[in-house]
Amino acid sequence: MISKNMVVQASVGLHARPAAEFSQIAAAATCEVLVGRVGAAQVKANSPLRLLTLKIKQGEEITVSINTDDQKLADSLFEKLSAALIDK
Amino acid sequence: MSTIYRGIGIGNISVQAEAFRIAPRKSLPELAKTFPNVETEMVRYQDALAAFVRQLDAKSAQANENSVKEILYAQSVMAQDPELADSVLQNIKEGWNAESAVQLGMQKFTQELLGASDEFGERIADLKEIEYRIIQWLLNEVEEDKLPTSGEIIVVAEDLSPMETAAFTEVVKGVVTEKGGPTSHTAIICRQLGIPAIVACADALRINNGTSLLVNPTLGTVEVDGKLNTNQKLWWQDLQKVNSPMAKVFANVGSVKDAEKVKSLNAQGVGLLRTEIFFLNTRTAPKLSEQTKIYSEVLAACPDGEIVFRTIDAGSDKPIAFLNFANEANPALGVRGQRLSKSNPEFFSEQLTAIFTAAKNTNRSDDVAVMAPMIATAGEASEFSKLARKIGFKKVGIMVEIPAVISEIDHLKDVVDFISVGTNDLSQYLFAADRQSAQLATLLDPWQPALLKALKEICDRANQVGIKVGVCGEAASDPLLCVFLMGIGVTTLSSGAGALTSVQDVVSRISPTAAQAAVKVALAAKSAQEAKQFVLASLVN
Repeated sequence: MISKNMVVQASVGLHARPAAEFSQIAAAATCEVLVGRVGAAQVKANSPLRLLTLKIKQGEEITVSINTDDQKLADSLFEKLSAALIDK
Repeated sequence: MSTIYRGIGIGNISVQAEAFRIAPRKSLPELAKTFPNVETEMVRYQDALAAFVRQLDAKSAQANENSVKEILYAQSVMAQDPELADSVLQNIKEGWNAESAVQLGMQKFTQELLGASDEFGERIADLKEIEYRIIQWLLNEVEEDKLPTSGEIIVVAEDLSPMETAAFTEVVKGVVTEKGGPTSHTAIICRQLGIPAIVACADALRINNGTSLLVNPTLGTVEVDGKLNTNQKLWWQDLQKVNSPMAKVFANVGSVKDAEKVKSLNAQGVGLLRTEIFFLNTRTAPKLSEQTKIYSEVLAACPDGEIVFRTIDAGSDKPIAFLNFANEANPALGVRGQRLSKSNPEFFSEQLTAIFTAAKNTNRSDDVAVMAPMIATAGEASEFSKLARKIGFKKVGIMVEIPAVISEIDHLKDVVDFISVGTNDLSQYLFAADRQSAQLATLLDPWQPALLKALKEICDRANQVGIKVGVCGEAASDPLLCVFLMGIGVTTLSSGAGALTSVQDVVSRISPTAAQAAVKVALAAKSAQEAKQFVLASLVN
């Protein structure tokens, strides 16, 4: 499991377009992606509705965990996932 | 006397047409355990879901606006949620029919959002919308859009879903909804489509189909049988042009794209150049040379005239990765804007140096000014001004958004050259009302009498000590309010790109006599509604 913290920068927080994009990237990944507030329980990131119930607002920090030992794969996913958390 | 309904107006143009009521939602079928064949029932669910997704995709392909496409995309992704699908399957296995299984499956998510008073509470409506649509497909009761294909209508509804607004054609001249607020989907989309709307309009559902309505977004009113004077679709159209306008019309800019856009719209300068957007994507502080390059690029795209850079306006609610933020319970009242310079002095002085160098490199030294956000005392203003002048800036200012600094303007003579009022934050701090809250929208109306009086006081104090006053908040994007602002002595109005053309047109037609008359009646008003009405009546007979 490889983890990384990220800040949700999108003004709407983790719902609407950012949550939809985030979940789609997680769903397309070859390994499981988990997400939650830093230090809190994590949920599967492929469910946009589940992401919504976390009620994460702009400026909150989340921990993203990827079920793999492949650092390269994890890094490329982290990059894509963090891009979803930014206003376009 | 005719009946008048009131709400929050979106847009400037009054329209008159017949009401077209969107039928209220049908109630959902009652939960039923019918022990269907699991496979057949799952196929029914999957077919209904697929049909709904196809419908969303088709709407998205038709939509011209990106914001509409985005909303439809998010709906489509949420409808196909894997956890929802699992839960529907589980429910069907337990004997529920597909209609019930969808309702029970969605309930798992809506229950967790119940009680959230903020924007997440508002999302329940989005989930209910998805549930409703899937079930309509299951029941084969899908209502295709029944909007007329010719003529002119004003759509009247409890609220509108993104799918419904996406189906709007040119027959829709106006919109009235009982629910929603200034930032609801309906308001955002109507603003982008240029359709005048009244949202949060109590009792709108009493309006009968076919009733003739006059929608006046400037006043936020819907008048039954109201007559539209065809020569006055825009209230300022019949006013004479003046020889010398009282204020310059600047624009707010946050990116190179914005700068190009407002230049093409003939903005006379930039009253607010936001710098934080350039740092949202970087994890580390940019080098001085990188920063200089970014500012040079945006300056090259800017219109001629004065360009006011605002130093970084970040806080723990809109953080920048390389600045140090503590976790704060109340970020709006925390260490933000200029207050961050204490813990990050190098970044703040480097930012000023980068702006100064960029101005020199692009031959804009005489045009470029800087201002700092979140200044509460004369001491803070003086500290910022000293630093900026040491770096070489000739024109230095501060934002006025914290009420405490208003009385201190007297002490800013020779300290700053100008002040710029951020009306959104000033309202938030003056009324103790979170600017994100839809429920407090009426307190945040820039026409609130207490805000108008605060703005008057700011101008009076600044004029006494020879400091120029500009406005860069939402208020400067409201053409009617701009009349009041000019009347109290504001000399630069910096609007958003969307409102620029209207504000330019109004400013070119307002004489000092008209503006001063507007101030007099506005200050006598006891409510935001009255203030708007009085000012409009003083300008148009």
